[in-house]
Amino acid sequence: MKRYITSLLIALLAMNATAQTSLSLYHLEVVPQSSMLNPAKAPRCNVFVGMPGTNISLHGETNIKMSEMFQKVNGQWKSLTDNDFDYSDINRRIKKGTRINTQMNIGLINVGWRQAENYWTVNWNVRASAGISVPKAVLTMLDKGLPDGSRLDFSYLRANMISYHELSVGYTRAIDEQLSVGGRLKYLSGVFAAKSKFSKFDVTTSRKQWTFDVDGEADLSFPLKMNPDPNGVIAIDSIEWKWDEMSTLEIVGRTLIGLHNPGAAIDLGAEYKIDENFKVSASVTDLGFIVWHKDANKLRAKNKYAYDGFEVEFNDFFDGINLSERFSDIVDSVENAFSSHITKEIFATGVHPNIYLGGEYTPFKFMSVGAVSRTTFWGNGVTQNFNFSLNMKPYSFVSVMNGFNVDIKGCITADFGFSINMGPLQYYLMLDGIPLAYRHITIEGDRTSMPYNCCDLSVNTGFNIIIGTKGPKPNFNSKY
Amino acid sequence: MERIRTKLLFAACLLTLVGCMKDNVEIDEIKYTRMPNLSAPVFHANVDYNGIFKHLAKNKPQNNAKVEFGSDGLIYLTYKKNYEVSWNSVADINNIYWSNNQLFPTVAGKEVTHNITDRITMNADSTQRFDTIVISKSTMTVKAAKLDVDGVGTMVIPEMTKDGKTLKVSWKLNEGTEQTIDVAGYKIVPGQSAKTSYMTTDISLEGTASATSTTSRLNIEMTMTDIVPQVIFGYFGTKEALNRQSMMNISFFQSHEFPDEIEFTGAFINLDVNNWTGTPFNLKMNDRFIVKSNKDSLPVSLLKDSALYIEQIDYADYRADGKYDPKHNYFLIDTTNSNLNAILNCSPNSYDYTLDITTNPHGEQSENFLTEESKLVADIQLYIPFWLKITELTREDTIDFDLNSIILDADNAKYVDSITLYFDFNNGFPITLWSQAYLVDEKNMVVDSLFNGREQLWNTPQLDQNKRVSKWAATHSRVSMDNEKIVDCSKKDVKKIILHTGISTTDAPNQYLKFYKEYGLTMNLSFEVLSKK
Repeated sequence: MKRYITSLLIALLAMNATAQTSLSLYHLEVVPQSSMLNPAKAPRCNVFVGMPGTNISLHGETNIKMSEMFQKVNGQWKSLTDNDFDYSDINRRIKKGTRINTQMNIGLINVGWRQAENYWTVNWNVRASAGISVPKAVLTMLDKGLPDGSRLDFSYLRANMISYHELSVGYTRAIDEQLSVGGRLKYLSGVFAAKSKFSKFDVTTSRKQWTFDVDGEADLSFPLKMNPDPNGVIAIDSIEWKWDEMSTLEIVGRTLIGLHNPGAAIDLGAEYKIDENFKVSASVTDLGFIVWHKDANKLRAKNKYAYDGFEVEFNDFFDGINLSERFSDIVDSVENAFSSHITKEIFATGVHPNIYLGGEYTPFKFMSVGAVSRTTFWGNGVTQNFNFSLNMKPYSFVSVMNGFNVDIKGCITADFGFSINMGPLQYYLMLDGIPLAYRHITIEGDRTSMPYNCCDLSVNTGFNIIIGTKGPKPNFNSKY
Repeated sequence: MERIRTKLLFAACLLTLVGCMKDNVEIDEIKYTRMPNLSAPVFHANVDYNGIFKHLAKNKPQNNAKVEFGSDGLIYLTYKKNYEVSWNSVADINNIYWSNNQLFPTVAGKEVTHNITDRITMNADSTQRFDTIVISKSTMTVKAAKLDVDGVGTMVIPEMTKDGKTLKVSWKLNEGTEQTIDVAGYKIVPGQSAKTSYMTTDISLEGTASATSTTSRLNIEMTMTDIVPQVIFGYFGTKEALNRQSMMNISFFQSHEFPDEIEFTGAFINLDVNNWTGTPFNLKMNDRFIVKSNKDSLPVSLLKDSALYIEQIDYADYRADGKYDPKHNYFLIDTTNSNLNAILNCSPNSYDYTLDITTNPHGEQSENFLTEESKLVADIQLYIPFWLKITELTREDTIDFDLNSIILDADNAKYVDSITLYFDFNNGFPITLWSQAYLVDEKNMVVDSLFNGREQLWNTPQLDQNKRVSKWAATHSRVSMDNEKIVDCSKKDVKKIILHTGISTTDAPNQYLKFYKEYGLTMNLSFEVLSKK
């Protein structure tokens, strides 16, 4: 049992293996998908067509470091569950809690073409993102237990998830020799969404009473069967899927097309060439929202529950007490604290906007060095990443990127990517956040290798048909 | 330049590979040695008479005990049964089935005159005499077969009158008859002869025989059944009106075998007899308590082989609408006139008795009367008050307490700084309770104890001059096991706690104390575990 719990814990903490467009793609303009990060960056080809379904990007991030999960005390490694483990470092670094966020993008249609100084792109992408936040109180509970007079704030607990279709038209124009600007208009069509937050989730413990004070809400757009009582109160565990009530056509329409929840977003970007070797750029992407109508429900839980010991009746002194029954009653009572009022309410969600700031220095035609900053606004916080890269195009058919990624949490990871052109066919692979170190963890004889200090990981890969590539120099605003 | 490009490319790729070199850090085993601090309430209880009697009811679903309170709030367990003697168990009026079937001669074409007189007995019991009966409910049916006579038949019952008119039934002889007559309101003043109260039927046939008739057969029937009297006067004899062997389960003692340390007092039996009849009765009760399963019987001193005289109401008190007070006859069997105290302290299982009620025990001394509503109701009520004394009643309970299982591993004992249990009592019963808890291993060998000697968990509440609790007593006890004790108990593999408790009623020995409905007890148990860092 112990090993499973530990494995689960480690697996959860190591779930930084998913993604969004790789940051290291930003300066690799030979790959058309780089324009997704900044619409002012025109791909270095006259026409490109993404192979449908092959252009995939995954991104994941967490603020937990594997290196913090184990400590060496007097020559012995200690885990979180060890009495000698010192939580002060983790507690100092983690402010509100831990989180895990993931994003995914699959390109179904990606095409672009140059028209004089203009570059047009048309895209249909399927996108999804999900994130959960675990409040710091969970760690505090593990560290300090639940002593007399403790108050734990679980209000940071939340879960967010959206999936949607993105149909976009992008336009890039070289204003002059130095400045290029671009924009992308997106029609969004939501498929599923869930977002939750607690304005209050306090648990106090004392020798005489435990209290649960919950005030939270969740917005859902899922095909769910809600079975509220006549007062509109619903127990969370009574919610069921209603797939069995839906026809195949409805299921396909709901999941693959999903035109019920409209939204819009915009990408804006600019690139400025300071001199022949140095250029800077900036962009804002995914600035938008989706309004959710289909199966939209708002659950609101505002309850208080006080536990002052289970009630013993006179009978129990003679008949004995069924502890499991009593414990089950308590669990039911705590669950009741989360019973919610349900209302049909439309709601809106953002789509996690990003701000990119970049600079690139090109000392040689075949090589440049670049730096990019990305700020991502998640539903549960803001993350900041920096990427420093060495971009090379040693041969006309190969581009390689090496670099490293630093996030604001202090995680340093390696980045690596390449693209290779085989005639008009281009394959590319970008990996951001490659762990710099691994750790062997042996638990009761089972050995596992886990990243040592890795908080973000992005993978971008795909095939494109490229027509009309221009020379090796990643010179923005060049005439193709 | 080509060389430089190639070298740079390989250098960059190598950098990435070097960056991915694995760090040789290994952990052989995950240990769960972090003992949490934990503080929580365990349970709370609020004991009052409701809870106690709910317990009694649960243990004996057929429990027929009820809880009552005296005017001062004293709690009683009561067992009650009642018996009813209705009017028809006292006066036995016959259902009347009278008929006459006889041939009589006739001469064709000539006049016919034929008379018959007969008696109908009203009293089914020859020791009874009915002087007057006013009928409340009954119907009379008269059937007569047709004759070959053209004329009229009449039946007259001179003892039955209504509004001064005698009951008379007429019919045409050549047609016969079948008549139903509502006789409610008729007054019967039966004729009297030896051991018989009777009515007379006078039949008269007058007419002309038909041309062919030579003989005629009179066939007449009269019935009058289910007579309900509005009132009956007379003498109803010395008659057994009720004889019932019965038993009262005393579930309180069946479900709880009270040890000698608990002694009850103040029990009593009410024999409450209400007589709505104008008839005196004699009540005999041969009773005994059955003690436990061995069927030892303990007779109640007062009632054995003796009889109680139940007086009747006066006719002057009778009202036709039934709203009149019964004659109340009350008998009390208590500790002063019986051995009830001794019996109840033997924890009897049941109260067995034979109830025998007879009318007119002293013969005819005055005229009896009964009405439709007349009845005699005998209530037998056993009252057991919560008035008792407890003298050092001890109890031993074993509670599973596998310490090493609780702390997951014996090695973890050193990380537990202390375990403390908090008992908070607020005692409103005139009882004190002490306790001692022993920590024992698998073989019940005592490893340690939780208290230093007996710990008084329930303090004595304050009593007023009537020995009634006037102020509840709060007690806050704490049982703490420090690290040294925990480690020791862990090493010795403590598995159970044997809990010794003892209770006594407060105040001086041999003092019986009453338990009133406002008495109660609240208790809270909580704990705190502190870990050692």
